[in-house]
Amino acid sequence: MAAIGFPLGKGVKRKRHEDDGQTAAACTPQTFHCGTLLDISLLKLHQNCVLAERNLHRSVLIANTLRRLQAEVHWENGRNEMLNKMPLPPPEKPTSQPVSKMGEEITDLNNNLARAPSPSLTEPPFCLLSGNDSSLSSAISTILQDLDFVEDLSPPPDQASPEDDHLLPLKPASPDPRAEPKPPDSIFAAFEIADSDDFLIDGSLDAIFEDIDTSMYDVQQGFPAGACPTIQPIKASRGTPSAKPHNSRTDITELENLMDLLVG
Amino acid sequence: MRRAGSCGSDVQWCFTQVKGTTDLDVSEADIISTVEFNHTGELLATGDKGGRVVIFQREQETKNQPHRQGEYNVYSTFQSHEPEFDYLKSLEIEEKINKIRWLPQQNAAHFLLSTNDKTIKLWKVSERDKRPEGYNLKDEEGRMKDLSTVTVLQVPVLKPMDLMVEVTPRKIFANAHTYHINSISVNSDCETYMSADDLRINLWHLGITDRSFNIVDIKPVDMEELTEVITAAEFHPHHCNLLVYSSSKGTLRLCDMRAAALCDKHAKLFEEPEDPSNRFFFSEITSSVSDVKFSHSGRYMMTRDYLTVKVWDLNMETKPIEIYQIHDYLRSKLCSLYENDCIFDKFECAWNGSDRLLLNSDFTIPFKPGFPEYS
Repeated sequence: MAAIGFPLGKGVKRKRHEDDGQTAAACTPQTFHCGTLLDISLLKLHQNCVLAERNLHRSVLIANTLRRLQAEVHWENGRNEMLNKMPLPPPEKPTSQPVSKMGEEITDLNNNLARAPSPSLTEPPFCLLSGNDSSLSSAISTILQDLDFVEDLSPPPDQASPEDDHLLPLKPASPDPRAEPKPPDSIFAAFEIADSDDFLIDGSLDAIFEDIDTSMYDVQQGFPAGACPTIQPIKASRGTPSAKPHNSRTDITELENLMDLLVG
Repeated sequence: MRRAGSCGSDVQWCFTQVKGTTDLDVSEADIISTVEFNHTGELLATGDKGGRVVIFQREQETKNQPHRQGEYNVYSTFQSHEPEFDYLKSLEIEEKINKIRWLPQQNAAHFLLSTNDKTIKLWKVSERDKRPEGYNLKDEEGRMKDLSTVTVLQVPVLKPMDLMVEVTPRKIFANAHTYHINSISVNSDCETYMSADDLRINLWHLGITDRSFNIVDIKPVDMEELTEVITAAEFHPHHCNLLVYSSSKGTLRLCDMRAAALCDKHAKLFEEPEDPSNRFFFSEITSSVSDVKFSHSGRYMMTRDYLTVKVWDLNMETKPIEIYQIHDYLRSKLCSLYENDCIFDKFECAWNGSDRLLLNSDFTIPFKPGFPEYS
């Protein structure tokens, strides 16, 4: 193969930074810390969910990593408490499978039982946990609760039909300090976005447009109905700046038809 | 388990062409996001982040140098997808081309499917090297003639012209995916194709754009229970009822569409058992399958994950028949790769025409030679 000096695998993410070598050297399997990994994971999850272009695949992988971290932290806390109370040999290592907030095993492909447990992070060569585990556990709980709140960034809809799973994100969970810290499951609620058609065919159209000022469409003022672009009142109510040109004419046409119905 | 690097003595790899710029500073829109040869290898389509598709055509082999591979030259360029904004969901829809698939050629024209995150389009690529001249009602510029000047009827004739490649959109398949489309695959019946996103797979008819059938749906009732997504999907090359899809947990599911309308229950599950001595914290992320391809024979499947290429026999679900470590040296650096997001990179794989060689994309070298043959 000819030696050619152009970067074949070049991508935006792969630009070398000055401290790349140092980071790589410091991050050996035996030395990376749970807290650092947790911070990185939560930051990635948060960034992914605030991006206009969300990546569900990436979020799932990061969330699974967080669940494993949380499970290991909990197991480690339990073990430490046992050791502090009774000078007995540590209990048998529990499964490190990801668990839901109810303590049940999370299922594969969202239906089947999970596979064999993954290696414990406290086993060599991956002695992940160090430092004060109880404080870490509480920090994780706080972060996850904040994450549950933060991740619900999509505007909550006005109505929710329980029969139709295409509709609407879940409501943000109210944090219960007495409950077990929840895994970052509610981030996927942000991906629970409705199909655009469902909004338009929903029966309670009045509720959708109740906050729109339609006075400009008042015929008595000499303003012909349907003359103005129907996108305008929506922009006025939300106070958003004008958006980029929209290539999907179907939505605009349907909005125009609805406005014609409203103004008669 | 066979280690990569045992190169076959009869395989020599070298670069024949470099298309595009070698400049280090390229714009984001020019970054190529997908490539696909057509079935004969005559045409090569590339899609980029700017929503454009560039088609290259191989030169005809000359009699002077019959053994030399023809060079590829630009055949056509067109804007496939434009950036869109979904007002109701307040989301930007990228124009980046995720996948291109050629349809089997049935006449002089070529057809290809291109898709971004939400919309699939069918394009017709045709050549025109003749044009009709001598219309009775129109002049040479196409304007209507004054009928009073028309005294003699003439028969229009086809005259040669400079070759012109026309690319026209024939169908647009939209509004069927809530999540990002990661795969499209044309069925062997040449009438249907499927599109897969993170949680669902839809079946389309190439001639019908206003409806599709959902054949796989792994979305949980409660999104809080979501732990696995669909990463790739492909139809069997010969059996129009069989399809395979891969998951982010490294599993493959072979589905038979004859069994049920909704193929949530797989016919076969291909899953490699975990080796307790070889597990590590990021093993779940690195086991996420980024690409799956059937061999041309239909007997084998190849999968690509972050660290390995695996070959599966459709008759054996318990483990792959071959595993190739691609860059094992990265195992000790997974933490850094996780930090800088490189661990989420996706790679593709392909069989060569005779199923003798396995090809895969990588960080530094495009091809990995020297795999045993599979026929």
